[in-house]
Amino acid sequence: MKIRAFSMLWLFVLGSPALAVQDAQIDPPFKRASVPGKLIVKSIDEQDLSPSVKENARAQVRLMKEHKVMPVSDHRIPDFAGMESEHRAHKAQVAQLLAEKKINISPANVDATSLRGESVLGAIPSGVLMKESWTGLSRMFNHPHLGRVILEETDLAKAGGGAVFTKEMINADVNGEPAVLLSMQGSPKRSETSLMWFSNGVLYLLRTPKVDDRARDELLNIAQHLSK
Amino acid sequence: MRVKLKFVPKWILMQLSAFTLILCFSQSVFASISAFSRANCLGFVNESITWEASGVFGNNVLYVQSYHVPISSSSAGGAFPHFLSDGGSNWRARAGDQGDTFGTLSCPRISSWNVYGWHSYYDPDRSATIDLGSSSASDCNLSEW
Repeated sequence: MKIRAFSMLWLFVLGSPALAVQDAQIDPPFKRASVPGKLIVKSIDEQDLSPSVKENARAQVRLMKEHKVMPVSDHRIPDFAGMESEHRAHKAQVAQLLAEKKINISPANVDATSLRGESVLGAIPSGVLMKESWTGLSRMFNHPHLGRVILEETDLAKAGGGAVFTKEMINADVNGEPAVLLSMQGSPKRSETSLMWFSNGVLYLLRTPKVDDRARDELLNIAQHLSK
Repeated sequence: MRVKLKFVPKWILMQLSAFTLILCFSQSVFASISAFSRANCLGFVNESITWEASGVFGNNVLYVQSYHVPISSSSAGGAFPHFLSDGGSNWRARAGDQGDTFGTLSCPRISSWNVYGWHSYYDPDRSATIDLGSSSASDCNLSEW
């Protein structure tokens, strides 16, 4: 009887029409580090971080200034082959989610970049699941010179989010917006160049496994010519 | 030492099995950083999760705060809004509970809840704090998995 009663309870709860959430965005009962929809740039000392995190950030700044390609341990470098598998596996699903408007962003147009006409290897929804729609999208392209290039876009503003960048880490700009350009090398076959910036409420991250000057120039060039 | 399960009521084992199943579902979704809330899952799980499965484990430090608000309650025992948080993990932060709808056998409490989540992470490579924003749910979002 108990089993049946609890089974009925589940059916009742799962089978009942979803009760509407009153409002997807309410004020959080805590102080946020960011301002919704905005980018804040602060020095390490100005941020509300623990002493050990601040010390790690200072070490990262020193490493970045000393090395064009930072030597790091392998676990800090993405597994691009694994990411390609993930992107390929979700490609059809993303197309369907976009058609159903369950990815609530307009993917950046790459037609004015060197990714124009290049095949999209795959894509993954990301960000926050809000009102049954995702606020982010990651696409992997096959670039003629760089090989795999991943473009991640997360509309932070859409879900009331924002970002805090560290002033000391900013070493590039994308159409006037502050950006962080990093090249990291682990073991010989594990490396990454990445470019992160924020524009109009959207956080962008470009990644490729190449770590030479051309990779850095290409990522900057792609970023500067993306359009919404 | 063998653990004797014969004293554990079967219905509790069934609930635990289902709970395990739903946790498994939650770990097989998308790569990249994702965040969501879900409410009233299997009638008793309310939670918000920020997680990363992009093969970059060990980098971003994930955080989540979850706020659970009862929207209906048929009973004794009361159901109060409450706040949970989790953080510091490199692959998943989960703030949730699985007892919101439980009363006692003699006096079961059936409640429906809204769950609100706030999701963020710290990227140590770029020294950036990313506030992903908030999620909300009034159901289990099962169609998304």
